[in-house]
Amino acid sequence: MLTAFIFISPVLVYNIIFRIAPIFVSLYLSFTKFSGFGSAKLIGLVNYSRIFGDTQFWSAVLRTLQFSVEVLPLNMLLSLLLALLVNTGLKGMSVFRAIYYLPVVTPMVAASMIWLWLYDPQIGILNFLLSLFNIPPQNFLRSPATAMHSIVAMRVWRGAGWNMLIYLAGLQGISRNLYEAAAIDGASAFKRFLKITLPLLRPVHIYVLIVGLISTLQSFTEMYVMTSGGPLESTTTVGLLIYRAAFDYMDMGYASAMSFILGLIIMTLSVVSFTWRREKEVAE
Amino acid sequence: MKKLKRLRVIFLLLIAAVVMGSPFFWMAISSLKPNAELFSWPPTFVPRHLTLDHYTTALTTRGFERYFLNSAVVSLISMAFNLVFCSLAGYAFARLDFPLKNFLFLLLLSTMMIPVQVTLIPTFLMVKSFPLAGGNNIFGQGGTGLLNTYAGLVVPHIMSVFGVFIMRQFYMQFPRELSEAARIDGAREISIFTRIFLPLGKPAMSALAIFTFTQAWDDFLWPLVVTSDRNMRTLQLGLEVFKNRYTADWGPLMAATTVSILPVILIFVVFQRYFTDTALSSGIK
Amino acid sequence: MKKLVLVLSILSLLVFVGFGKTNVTVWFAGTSDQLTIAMDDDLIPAFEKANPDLKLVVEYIPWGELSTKLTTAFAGGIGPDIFMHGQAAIAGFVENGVIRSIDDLIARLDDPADFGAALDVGIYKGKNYFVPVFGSGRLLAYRADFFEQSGLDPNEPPVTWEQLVTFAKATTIYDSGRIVRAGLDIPVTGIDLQQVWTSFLIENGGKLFDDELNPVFNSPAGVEALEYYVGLVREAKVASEFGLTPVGNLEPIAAGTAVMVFMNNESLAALKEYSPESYSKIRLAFPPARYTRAGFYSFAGFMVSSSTKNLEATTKALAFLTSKDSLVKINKALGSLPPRQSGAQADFIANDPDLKKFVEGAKYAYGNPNVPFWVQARDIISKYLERAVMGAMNPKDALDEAAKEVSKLK
Repeated sequence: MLTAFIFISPVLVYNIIFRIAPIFVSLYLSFTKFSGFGSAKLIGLVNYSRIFGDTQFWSAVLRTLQFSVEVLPLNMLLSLLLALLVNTGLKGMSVFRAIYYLPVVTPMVAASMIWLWLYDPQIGILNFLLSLFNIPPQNFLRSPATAMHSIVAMRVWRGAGWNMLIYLAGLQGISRNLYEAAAIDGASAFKRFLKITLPLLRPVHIYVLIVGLISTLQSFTEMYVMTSGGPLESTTTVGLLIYRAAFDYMDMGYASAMSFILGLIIMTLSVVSFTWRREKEVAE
Repeated sequence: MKKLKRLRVIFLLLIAAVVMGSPFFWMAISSLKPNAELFSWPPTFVPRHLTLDHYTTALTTRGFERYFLNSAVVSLISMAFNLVFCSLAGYAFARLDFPLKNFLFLLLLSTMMIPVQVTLIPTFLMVKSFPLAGGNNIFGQGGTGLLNTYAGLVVPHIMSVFGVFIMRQFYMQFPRELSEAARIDGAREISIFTRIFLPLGKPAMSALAIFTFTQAWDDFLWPLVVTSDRNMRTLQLGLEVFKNRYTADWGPLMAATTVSILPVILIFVVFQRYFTDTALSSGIK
Repeated sequence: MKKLVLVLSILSLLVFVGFGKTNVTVWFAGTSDQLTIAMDDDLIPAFEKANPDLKLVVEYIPWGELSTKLTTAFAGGIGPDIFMHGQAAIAGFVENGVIRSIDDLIARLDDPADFGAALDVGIYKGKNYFVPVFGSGRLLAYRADFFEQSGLDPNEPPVTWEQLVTFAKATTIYDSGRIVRAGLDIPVTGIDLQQVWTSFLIENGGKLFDDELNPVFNSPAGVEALEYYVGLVREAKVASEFGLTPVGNLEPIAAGTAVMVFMNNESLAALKEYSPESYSKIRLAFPPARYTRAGFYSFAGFMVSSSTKNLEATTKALAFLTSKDSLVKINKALGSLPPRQSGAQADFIANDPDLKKFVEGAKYAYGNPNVPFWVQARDIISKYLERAVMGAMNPKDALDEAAKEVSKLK
């Protein structure tokens, strides 16, 4: 038990100093009026009551949740498939793995330019491809109906390589023997996948799900760069509102309050995911 | 592997490669095109003219090598710290029992749930007021603390909770019996870790190495805020040199971006070999 | 022993000299390499030579991150002495106590009268806070070849609102109801929408705010201006309701998907490099008038932090950096519009017909209003303008709602 504490104390102590303490400071700030300059003035619950009446905030919450709901399953599916693909023993796998990882490391400035071009209604490549099938051009990022979905696609593309790595690591942890035994028993590849791979990857699924929740619910960079939250606010996420309040409107107190509400939502969803999955585990 | 299956796999691999990789390859190819051809419509995949001008411009911009070096140092240090401490902590959370285990883990996880925009200033203040550093007295007053230092730059990346999380999940995959058997044999906890689980942890640690390096390498906001000395800037900040208020020097920017991606891919290639089928031959006899 | 004494005395002399120097920290907005070279190689050494007891510490911050960097630095008590920002930020900084007035420093500047009206841009509540350093403007750019193709005289750009519509209609090309080439490329969303629409507002004799900082853009002049703007998209159908965006540096006018656009000088300069063929066919004109012409011009300039420790040193640095010579060099490096009248005669302007035209167009310039809540107001205005353009609200309601929300900010 002492060993356990020795093992975790560097991480614990460090995070208490450099992550938890700043969070407490932000919590304090959420009860103040603070522009970032000068001093913070305590105003009690004013920021929070403002949030309750802020329709823009709650529409953004719904929108952000919707974004998560779209991105997470697609991302998990795609990264799992990619991981399976590159887990085969064929030669040259490392090249393919690196290629699938490229979107993760392409800086946003380049990725956004390329995707803006892809999506362009007049000179974009996607519309060009669609025109080959006689489909009329789509205003991917410019129409309120399709803007968010277009960003979902870009986000899935960008994130798949990351989770592919995680799944790859997870796949290595499954014993070969299990597959061989099942094969001997006559199970098909698909059945082996369903009954062995998927269940044994459960801890990995949890990781991908929770980390995915945390990251998608906070997302703001893509929306900021690709559409600035438009058109007609259809891509305005909570993260974007927080950024604007903090740095554009110099309303750090309000931004902090919004962050904590968001944090609470994320925490609730994460805890639900954790316990739901755990119950499933126990049930099996 | 059966021929047909192999063909199918190769086909899928290639399609995925086109979808995932073409933006990057288009950018890399474009970085070799002269400005006038960069945005020509219809776009050219095979450049009509080749030029290395953008690379010369990018690589000879002031401070480029310095920024590159800084990014490398910060990313490697972060990677090293995480490999050591996240695997220890992740292992403990996964396979050891101690009071408040779940509470502590949730506590750590919750630190990830507050968006960085609001913790930016408090964290910055903390780094600036680090006692006995950068001219600070014991109360952290008077100087600039860890600003403009490598230590300050690595602050958000080391002891990453995500790192602990992934190591924990990975270590949870192994059956209890594995630890039990070793304990029954009388081994000490630390040697159970170093002898059995550390080697087993190679795939997850490789993932951890890659993703810590990536996050540190790609970080833009924190280095912006923490450095004012141009000599401490990182590469992502360096890319800003090519951006103007409304436009950008896309030619050199693409060249610089391509160059900036290479080290991450290098780390990737180096560590991903640990993902090859290291089958877990069961330690339970 | 003698050597040791010599070394020690040299060292202590150096230390003394090091301590003796006062640092003046200056933050520039914009990270272009040319600017860095002009500063590092030319201006900084020149200043330090003329002022041996001073050291100029210059940092370059990307435009998009200016606010973040300033906020963190000032929160940590290590803000710069002089920093650059857009003129629209002045009011907010004043209200938050970040900057000090420069009224008492103007006399120390190099020929302040040379700035002309540009120096008034920084006046807020009767005091001046801002020395302009470089400007950027928007003028009407049009494709001479497309004009010719549609039977229009390429030397006669539109000068009235009516002509703008007519010419746009004549040059718009449709394909099964869709616009393939828009007669006019106007923004339909974001900051650009607010900036370009405001030109129409002012051309129609309207204003954004009155002297008491109340929103007055929903006046009849404003409603008319918005009806005209929305009409371009929804009735005349000469502009795409989804907007056209540049891809990288490829503006729609260069890609051939638009004929006319209100373009700023940086984007035009980029076209010269990246689409030389199309660039050769582009001409510049002043924005068309209703009652007056109006073009959006904005200045970025220096402000002095209220927490500056050595005012004398800071003033010297400010005077130096905004002198005639320095400003010409800085603007040349950036390819931007000089704020001084003498700067308008500089060689690099005379040799560049585009810049020359932009400098001429400054007589029709209007800038962002100096209101403390400008960024929020701008976002609100833009939000409602967008709704009107997309047909989700009628122009009068949109402007009234916007005015209502903006008045709550006061």
